[in-house]
Amino acid sequence: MHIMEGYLDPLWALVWILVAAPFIVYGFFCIRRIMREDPAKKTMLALSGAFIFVLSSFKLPSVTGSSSHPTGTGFSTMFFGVGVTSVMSLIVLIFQALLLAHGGFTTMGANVFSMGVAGPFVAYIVFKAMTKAKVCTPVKVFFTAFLAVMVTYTVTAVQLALNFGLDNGNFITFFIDYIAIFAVTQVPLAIVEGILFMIFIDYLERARPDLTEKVFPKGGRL
Amino acid sequence: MFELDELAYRSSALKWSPSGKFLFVLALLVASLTASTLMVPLVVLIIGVLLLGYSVRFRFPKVIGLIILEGLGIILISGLVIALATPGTTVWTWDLLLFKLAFTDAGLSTATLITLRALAGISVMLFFSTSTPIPHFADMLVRLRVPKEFAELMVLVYRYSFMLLDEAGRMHLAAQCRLGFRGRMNTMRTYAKMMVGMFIRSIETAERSNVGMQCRNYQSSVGMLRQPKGMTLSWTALSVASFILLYQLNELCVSSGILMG
Repeated sequence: MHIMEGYLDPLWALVWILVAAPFIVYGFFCIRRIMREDPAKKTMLALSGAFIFVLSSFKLPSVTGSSSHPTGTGFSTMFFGVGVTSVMSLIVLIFQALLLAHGGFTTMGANVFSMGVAGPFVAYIVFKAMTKAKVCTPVKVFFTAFLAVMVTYTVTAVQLALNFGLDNGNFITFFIDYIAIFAVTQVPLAIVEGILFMIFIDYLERARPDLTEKVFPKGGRL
Repeated sequence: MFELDELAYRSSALKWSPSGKFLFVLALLVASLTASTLMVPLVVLIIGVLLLGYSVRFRFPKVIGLIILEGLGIILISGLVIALATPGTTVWTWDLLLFKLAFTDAGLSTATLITLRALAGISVMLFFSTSTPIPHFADMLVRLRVPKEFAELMVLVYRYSFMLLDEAGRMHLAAQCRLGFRGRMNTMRTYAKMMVGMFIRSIETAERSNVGMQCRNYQSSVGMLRQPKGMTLSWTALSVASFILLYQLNELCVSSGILMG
């Protein structure tokens, strides 16, 4: 669920664009470096973007009876890092705005920050910490995917609460209201996405171990 | 998923300059956001619906209805939260046995304004979406001096999405035939297997596609049959004039107290 067009005041729309911009610029330099070092990776990057976009079209059953879709940012963070994920998220969000009318132009900064920067950033830190602590792959994958979704929606709730509640001193009330609504649909979704990626990495390790050995070195406890 | 893109290629406004349309849409969106009265979002909504109608030749396909319905669901939930959480004088309470919902005057007026803004935003965005294919949008980004690599990546992602979506469709059908979506856990396993299949297939496609593109002397740009028009002075003038007119309309409504929300 992205913030829709028309929901953010111009000031907050601008603030979130400015906050997201440095990460996008950094991500862009990462991508440019990858493209210049090995032009063959250009197609690989593009296909990864397409993979994330197509992944977001898969409808998953949700506990609330509705259906949701995976964001794929946790997966992208594990394989490509935060910089590349932020640019990929921007491209996917532009496509979602243009092809599915999800999100919008004036809310692009806020959506990129929540989905492409904050979620992946926290997930990346946790992923690295767990790798250092030699946590086994399924647990690591579950928490990375789970946190990427949870942090994304927590930041979205903060963004909406700041927009509507800061002027009238009702930030906390708005934040609790939004987080309560998101909790109904997004906590089950985050758990489902975590389990889905756990099974995904397990299959991938068996089918193409050459692709996963760098990201998920063998060995680990838990 | 790509119905809007297909619509864009048949749009009456396809030949309009993408950067001109983008600037005009942005002017309308920003004017709607800066307005404190209901009049401006209402006018933007009407303009948006008319432009959308013109773009799809006044034959609204099912996909647009579905998008609007989905948007309405989100707008209504969010509007309800705003109406309930904004402090002010209570004007209406709804007793739900276990708890009471109290709607305030300030909450209701803010919720109405935000709902109208969102509806206006959807209509204007849909006009842009149904009249601008992705390659035209990428071309516009290059003209706006966005780094070429970004635009190139965008076009490549767009093209590969079609291939992967075809592949995913075939895998989905095959899994369905084998009762792969029977039960929650089975569904999860099937989706995970499909994702792995798609991921591996996408890597193989990337390798093949890279060789194919090198053989065709790919120089980081994908050609188009007809180049879209660039930005013209009339589009800039139209956008600026629209913004000023809507701003003045808002001021007029504030001073005369019309549709204050």
